[in-house]
Amino acid sequence: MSAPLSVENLSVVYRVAGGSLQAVRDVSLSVQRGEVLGIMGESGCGKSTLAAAMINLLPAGAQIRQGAVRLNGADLLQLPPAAQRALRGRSVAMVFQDPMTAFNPVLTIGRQLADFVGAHDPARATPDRLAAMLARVGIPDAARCLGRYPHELSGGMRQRVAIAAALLTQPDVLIADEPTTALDVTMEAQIIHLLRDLRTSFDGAIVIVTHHLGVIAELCDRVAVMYAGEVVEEGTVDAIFHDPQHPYTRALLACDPAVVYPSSGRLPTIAGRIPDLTALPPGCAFLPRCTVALPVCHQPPPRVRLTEGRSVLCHRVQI
Amino acid sequence: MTPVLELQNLSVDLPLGGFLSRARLPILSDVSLKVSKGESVALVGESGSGKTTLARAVMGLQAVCAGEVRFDGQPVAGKAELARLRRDAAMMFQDATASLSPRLTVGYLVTEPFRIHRRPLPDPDLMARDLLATVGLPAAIARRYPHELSGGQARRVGVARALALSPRLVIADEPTAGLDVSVQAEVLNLMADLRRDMGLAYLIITHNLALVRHVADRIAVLYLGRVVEEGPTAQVFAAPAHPYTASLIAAEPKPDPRRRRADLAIRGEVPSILRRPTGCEFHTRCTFAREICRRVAPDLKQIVPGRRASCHFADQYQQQGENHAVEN
Repeated sequence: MSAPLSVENLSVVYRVAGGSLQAVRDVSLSVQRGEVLGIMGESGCGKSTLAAAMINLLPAGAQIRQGAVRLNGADLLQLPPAAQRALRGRSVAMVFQDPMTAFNPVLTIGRQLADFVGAHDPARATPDRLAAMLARVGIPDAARCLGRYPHELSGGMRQRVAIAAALLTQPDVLIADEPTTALDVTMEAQIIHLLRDLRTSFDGAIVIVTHHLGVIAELCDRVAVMYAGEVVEEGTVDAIFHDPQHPYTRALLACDPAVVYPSSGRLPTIAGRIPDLTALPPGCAFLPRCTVALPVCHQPPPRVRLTEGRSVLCHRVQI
Repeated sequence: MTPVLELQNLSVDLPLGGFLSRARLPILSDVSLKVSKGESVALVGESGSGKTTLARAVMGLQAVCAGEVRFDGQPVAGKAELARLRRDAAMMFQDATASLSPRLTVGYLVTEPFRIHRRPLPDPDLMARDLLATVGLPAAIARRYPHELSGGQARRVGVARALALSPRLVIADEPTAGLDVSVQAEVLNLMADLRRDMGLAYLIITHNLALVRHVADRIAVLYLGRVVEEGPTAQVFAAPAHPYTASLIAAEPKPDPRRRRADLAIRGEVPSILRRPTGCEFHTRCTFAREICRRVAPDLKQIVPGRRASCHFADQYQQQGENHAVEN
């Protein structure tokens, strides 16, 4: 069976003064039904651009240089705009970071949910079905919630409604960009549990994009680590957290204060800054910050495939 | 020894709308807290627990309706004391970039406290260079504007500005919010270095427990504007005495897929302060709640020297925690 979502050799650039900024560089990924894929990385690594490219909703100024985004085999990027719109919502749905601005403030929750689902299938937009979906994501008193306005709900509740909205059309792929970043730790734990529960009942693929290592560890099956627009390491969540191979993955895991326990002395840091994405050198992008670099690292690094679904972009890694 | 900062039974009410209404909404109730010289105290709680209101009350940005703030043992009451407090205690704001005026250069911004407090500033350029060096920024950055800085650099400029008048207390509101983990580590290391070198005391306001465990000597947990637990960080994390503290610690996502939580640490949401629960205000979300918890509000009482908690069953609960910690 083919993957519901696969990205093939995707490169995205942003036009900036004096050149182009390479935000996503030759990324290939796929996610299977019933699987949660985590895309992890720091600001500026291209993870949000990649998520936006997965539904072809890139901001103005972005340009896809090469590659394909396949939804159930069909390349989304080659479809006419009307056909793309038909797929968004139906085949692929997105949950955004900020549950405060994801809704229209002057319409009730019920009206907005009916709009989302009614655009694809008016028969499903009945209050009973909408309330049932809200109950499924853990909204108490779901029928009454349909008559409420977004400002009457807390941040955690709004994020639940956003997830319900995304699931109403029974998409094959759910993409969540930083779904817990705007929430308190207790609400974050509840949303993690909700997404984990949904994974068992919802027969689609889930993609979680976040910089929060704890969210990845709690929720994902497989992880892709991004640095400077590239996937530098990919593997199962256990392999990434317990047997990281790329020097960047190792450094990133080491400097999370949640890992360093008990607290004593200083936290490790990653010296230097991410490279200028408008003028990348030909070799490894992590080279200037790498503590184990070799002379060969000035050459483009190879993608070493350790096992099925486990790869590292590094000269140091040997099979 | 006199603590640098002492809050005694501090309460803050806000007027509850309505043109003729005299009703007031309690935001902070009866909060007492001490920060000693060179000590780092963390104040944790969910959104709406009153953390930021407390910081604003300390700095005189929010009117206090009962209790008092003492700085160096002196009550902060009049204008003169407030001016002294604002000179000797500095604030690091949550949104570092927004706290810097977009039309001033970094060099001017870090020396601005001297101008505001009319302190002698013989050589502004030299002073700016020194301050920037203290926080690990190159001197060339003095000519830049805030929009030209990265998040980590803006945060460092905020620290440099806070340090300008050699304060003895720094109040840091979410000092690492919005920073990547590697940059967060740099800021935390910087704060630790400054504390060691300059004997700074910190009051850190955050909901990030990983950060608390790393930087704070003591922790105070706020729930609906009341301190529900207070004590040395290591002890509180090892054996929390209040079920709310235990739930917060358990809710934090662990960066280890082998230690996933199977059950939910805490259900429900923070109740509205407009409709505070009766009895213990946490009973609506507490898995240990019994009949007495619904009726009688527990006092914040000492459980062991240096530790306080407001739970009817704090002693039993904390012992359970200790046994549990031993088992692990």
